[in-house]
Amino acid sequence: MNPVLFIAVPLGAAFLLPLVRRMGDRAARGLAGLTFAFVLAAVVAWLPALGNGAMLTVTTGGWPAPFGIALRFGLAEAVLIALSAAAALGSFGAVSSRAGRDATSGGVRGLVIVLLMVVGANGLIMTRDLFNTFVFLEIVSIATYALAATGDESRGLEAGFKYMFLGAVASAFILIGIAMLYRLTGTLSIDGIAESLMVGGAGAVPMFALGVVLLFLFAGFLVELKVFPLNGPAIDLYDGVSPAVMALTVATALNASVYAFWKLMPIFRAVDLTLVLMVIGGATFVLANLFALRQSRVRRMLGYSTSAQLGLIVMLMPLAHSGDVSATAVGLLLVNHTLAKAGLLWFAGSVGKQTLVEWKGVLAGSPAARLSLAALVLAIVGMPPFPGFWGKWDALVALSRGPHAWWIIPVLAGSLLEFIYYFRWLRLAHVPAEDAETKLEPTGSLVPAHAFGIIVLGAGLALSSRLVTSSTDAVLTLAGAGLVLLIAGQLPGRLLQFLSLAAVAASGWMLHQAGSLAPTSITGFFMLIVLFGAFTVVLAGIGTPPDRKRYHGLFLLLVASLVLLVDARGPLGFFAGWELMTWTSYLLVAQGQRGGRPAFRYMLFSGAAGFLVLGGILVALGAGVTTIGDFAHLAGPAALWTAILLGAGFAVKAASAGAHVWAPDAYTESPDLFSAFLSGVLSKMPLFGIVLFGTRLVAGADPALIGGTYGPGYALGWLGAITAIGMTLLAALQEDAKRLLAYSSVGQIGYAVVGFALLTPLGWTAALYHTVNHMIIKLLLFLAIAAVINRTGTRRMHEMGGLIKKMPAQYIAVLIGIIALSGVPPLSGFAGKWLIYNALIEKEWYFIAGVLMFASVIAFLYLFRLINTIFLGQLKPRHREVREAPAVFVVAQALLVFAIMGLSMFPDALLRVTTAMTAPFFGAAGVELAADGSVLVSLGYLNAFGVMAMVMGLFAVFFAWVLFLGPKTTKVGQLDIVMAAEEPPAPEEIHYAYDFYRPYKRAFAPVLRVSVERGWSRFAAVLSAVAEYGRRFYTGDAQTYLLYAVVFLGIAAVAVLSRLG
Amino acid sequence: MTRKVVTLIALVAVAGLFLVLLRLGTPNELGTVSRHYVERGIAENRAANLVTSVVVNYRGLDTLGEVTVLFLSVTGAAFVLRRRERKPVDARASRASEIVQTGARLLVAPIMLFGVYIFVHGHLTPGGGFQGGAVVASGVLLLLLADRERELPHGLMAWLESLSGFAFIVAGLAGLWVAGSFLANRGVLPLGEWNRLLSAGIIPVIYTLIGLKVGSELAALLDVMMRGEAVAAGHGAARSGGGRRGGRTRGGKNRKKGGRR
Amino acid sequence: MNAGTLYLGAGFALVLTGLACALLRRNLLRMVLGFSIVDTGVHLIIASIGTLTGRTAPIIDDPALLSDATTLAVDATAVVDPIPQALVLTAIVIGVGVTALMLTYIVRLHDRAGTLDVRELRDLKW
Repeated sequence: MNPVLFIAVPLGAAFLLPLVRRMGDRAARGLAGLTFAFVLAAVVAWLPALGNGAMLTVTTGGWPAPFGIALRFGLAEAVLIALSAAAALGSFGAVSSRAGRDATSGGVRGLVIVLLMVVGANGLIMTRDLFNTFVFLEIVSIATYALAATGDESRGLEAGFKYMFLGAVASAFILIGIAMLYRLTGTLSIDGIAESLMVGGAGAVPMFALGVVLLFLFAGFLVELKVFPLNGPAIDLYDGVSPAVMALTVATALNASVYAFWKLMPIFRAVDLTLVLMVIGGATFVLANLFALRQSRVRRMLGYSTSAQLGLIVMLMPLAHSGDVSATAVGLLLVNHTLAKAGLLWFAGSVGKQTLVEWKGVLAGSPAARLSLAALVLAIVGMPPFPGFWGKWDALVALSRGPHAWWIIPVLAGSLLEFIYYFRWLRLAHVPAEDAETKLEPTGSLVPAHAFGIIVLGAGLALSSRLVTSSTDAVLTLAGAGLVLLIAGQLPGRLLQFLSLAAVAASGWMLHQAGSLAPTSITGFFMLIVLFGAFTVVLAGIGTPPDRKRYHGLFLLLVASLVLLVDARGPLGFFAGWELMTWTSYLLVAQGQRGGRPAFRYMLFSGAAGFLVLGGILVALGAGVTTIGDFAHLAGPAALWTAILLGAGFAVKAASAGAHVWAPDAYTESPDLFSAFLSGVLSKMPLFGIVLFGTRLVAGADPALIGGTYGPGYALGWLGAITAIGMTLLAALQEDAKRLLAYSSVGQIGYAVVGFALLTPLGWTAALYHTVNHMIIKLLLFLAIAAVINRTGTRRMHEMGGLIKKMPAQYIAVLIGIIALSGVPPLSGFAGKWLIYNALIEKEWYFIAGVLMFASVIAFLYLFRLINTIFLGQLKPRHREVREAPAVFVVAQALLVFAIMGLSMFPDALLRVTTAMTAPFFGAAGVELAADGSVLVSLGYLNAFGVMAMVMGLFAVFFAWVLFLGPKTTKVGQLDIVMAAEEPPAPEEIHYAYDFYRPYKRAFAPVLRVSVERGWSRFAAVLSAVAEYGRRFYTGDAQTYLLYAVVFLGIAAVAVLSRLG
Repeated sequence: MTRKVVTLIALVAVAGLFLVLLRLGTPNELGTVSRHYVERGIAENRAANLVTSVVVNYRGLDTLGEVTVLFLSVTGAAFVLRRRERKPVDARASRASEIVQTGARLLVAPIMLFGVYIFVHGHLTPGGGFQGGAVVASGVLLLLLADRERELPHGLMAWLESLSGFAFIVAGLAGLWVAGSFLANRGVLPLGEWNRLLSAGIIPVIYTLIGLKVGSELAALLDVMMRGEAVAAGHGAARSGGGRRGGRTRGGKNRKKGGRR
Repeated sequence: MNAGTLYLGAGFALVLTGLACALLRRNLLRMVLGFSIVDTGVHLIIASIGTLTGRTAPIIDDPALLSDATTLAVDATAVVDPIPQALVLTAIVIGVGVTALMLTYIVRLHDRAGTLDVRELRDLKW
């Protein structure tokens, strides 16, 4: 076997094809298909032997380089050739599509061109000769020009001509560069030229002239690489040419050009082009992603995306060459882009819809297609476990440790912009069926797209072995079960529910065996929260109708990612878990009936939070940190910036005031059970982050800095307090029960944030106690509301009423929940709030304490409504047949009620744990726990059991009085209402519970007018306007594009030559 | 206006770059690689024409790529024009005068013979497969100019085109088989004596194949470009079973056009 | 200033002329013509690289050019560089291929749009 066959065999097939065609179309197709399959199989079979870095150099013409043209074949070449053959097979598989049929309509010409494209790409990948590089580059270019005439002809012709015009002049530049390099070095072998430039040094070759020569070569190649400002025609090409063809070019022409450019890096090193490449690469990544925001046509959007991702690769290339960034990381980015982009293009081609609006709802009825598109999008934006994530992570970590750390900012900014347009596309495709104008009627096979989705996922999973921890068994169990349930979505729903429960229980047992559940460790503490929440929600789920089939698999994947996150051994594990949590929960939110838009928003804010967290981690890594424990060794500005960025990220994820706008919709529109998990468990993950990193940062910080009254936490404290009061106020004004609880949940997290912001042992103990307490209460309340919604079919509170008789268990659940939440004795909330107030007073943050107390008072307003509007009052006639929730559901709730009761009587049990957790980091315990269960703090003490006994006694007396001695009630017919001859305007208007707090609304009008929502809209509008203005750079004029190239050459010349003197 | 100014400034900048390159001048001596070719070329390949030695053997992969490019552009041109209607040709305009027609018929045979001579002697005299092929194609061009309606022997051209290209690859693989290197010359055929027609091993064979390939390729290209809807060698949808399909395509196109008006 | 440098300069001049034509002429055919001129200039540049004043073509059909008749070694100072000649051959053929494809594109564009003005080709932008 000789790698030259990867050129010779497809070429021979291409030459023969016109003759084979005489035997019929099928024979021609068979020959082409067999050829691609042969190349793919041969390369893949070769891969294992190349894994250890083996490199094969073969000669042609019988002479070694530099006299003959040498080819090199190693791991990188093999992977790229495999991709090109796979893509050729894929587009071959896509021939049933309209575009595919078109490509072959004139007989075999299309197939011949595809074969030659593969020939050119394989040659370009392997050759080690500069002029030979040019020849193969021309082959792939001309094949692209020819294939541009597929699809809509007039658009294709226009795009093809522009691309060809610029490409032809670029080739001329390349040729000038090659000729002059030959003039300077007397050889055409790439290695020979590099060697002669290096050995000769400054004396042998005139540097200034060499700089000019290399610029011509460089500018010509950059056109092929589609970077700003030379990418205009390339983007038009995506717009005009059928996506199936573009998928092929991504995996062949584009990859091969990138690799050819990479091979030339040793030559370019003769003059330092690092800065030029980084600037244009970085600019491309940010600008192309920005301009993509304004694209209404999916194909053009994908074109900008290609340009952007190539920009990132170009930016990293010089660093990879100098060894500052590992070349493998850049390779992973390229492979990830190829697989995901080719998949997306095939997808777009097969669905056949042109504009984003037309995509609306096309995938609603086809869950497999939705999953596939989601996977491809997740891959291309670089989410774990896809290869792009690993590539980006390695590259960013390397950047943070090198002299180019600031370049992380454009990378993260561009990545966030990328999120926006990709997830907007996904959202539109997922719009539920009743809103949709169209259904999925694929014009072609989705098989190639699915196949590439599976390959990219498989590649990513293979790379995920880096995340092994002691909890790996549990993660694998959960993730494996999740994937199985996701694929086996057709199984009976009940079975799926029981399997989910079994998986959660099994993983819990495994974690216990692995010793990951020690409650006094931070990770064990939060692991218990995750498991408890997951178990309760899944258990309750058994009592609900099993209608959402994909829900269960996704939920298990989410739990798996949470286990990974909580048990992370290092920053990488933490961030990978964090991002996994982000996208799994995103998909779960999107499962809601109208979850598309809220999920989109959730993803944007979570993405931003993720990048802030990543920024913080990268600052720390740049300062030499390797493990999470090392965060304690951070000092100076590194510690400050780490704290600020991590704090900001966690604050956004915790939906703190200002960034809260994602939360109400996401909580409200999620599947009802998932809302409970979102509020009960997921909202605790930013708190986990604060605890995990905060404890270390605090332990390493100067005690004088955090000990004073107004330390670094003060701003965070106010953020928490404003969140608490603002969200509580908004909660009171809601008509939707879930929305009310959503605001309540966000507000309560604010209390915890205040507690952590105090940076005192008491504050942290209190916040941790509050965290657990809030989890239990919110699970209980959301479950109860879920049961009510499930039975009544509405979320609007004024449409309910009088349900106390129909759903007494839910009434009790909500009653206990709101008492515990409001923080009045005797239930568990009291201890939490009491501790927080004590901590605030101890720290002398009186003003914040006042705000929180006021917020607690307002909280009664909305808590009261839950009971009053839903359960008391008159039963609606249509709810006469409503039944209590199923037994299993009530059992799950009973678990939670017991937990609240236990916590109410013995808060010291939990406080013992939280104190033990925080004390080592502060060097002091915040509370003292007496033997009788009393909780002692510097300002007083609390005997919860005593309070409980007292209140229960009083309650018993009062209850007995009402029951036996109170006045007798009179029954009134429910519909005895007189309207006094007035026509009621709308049914809601006359319901007493509708707009219940109208007076307060008026009173708070000035405050409520401060619409954060509007602020974000304005920000989006500005961003959009910038994108709109900027993209006009691409005027569509072929000559203007050429002029850009010439001007670019001039500017680059000034930039490079001025430094050569 | 701004455009023109910017263009001029940019061109002046490029001119400046060119001046830098011009000051380098041309070399005074052969480089290491070309010195090897000159000094050892005859010994290694026995081809009197060193350029041919470089083109067919030392840089044979380039030449294979070059043939591929030509094949690709012909296929591509036919592909781009596949939906083009064949315009009805005015008989008088399409046919040159009697004198030209007769002259063309007279000249075609010598022209083709000359072309064949050039590529067969590619390893001895200036010229070779590409030049000879171009001369052959110019004969075809002459025929087409004299009479546009003239049907070329498409079947023969298709066979020539496909098999000459395929044989080139087979010749290359023979080198791989015998000498372990694709397109190797040594050992495949006896090298013979320098400066004779039968010398230089497989080089004249390959150059002849290239001549045939280039000749038929360029002829096909001329045919495609002069006549629109491709009936060119072997690519034709109009041939062997493709006729119905071609007709349908054209019909569809007409409908579309009518609708637009 | 030797002959080679003169050719080189002429090549650069052609490239500039062609670029100006490609950038300023609005007619598609003239733009392609501009590219052709650029291409020709580049070919001249390549060819000029191999020029060595006073030497003959690298075709060894005369035993006088052999420095050693038994080993068939050739006098390296007698002939010009064969490599650029091989390269220019390849470059010319590739140029022909690209030009042919461009022209077919123009034929199709003219069929559909009925114009040769590049300013009409601006459906795809932004």
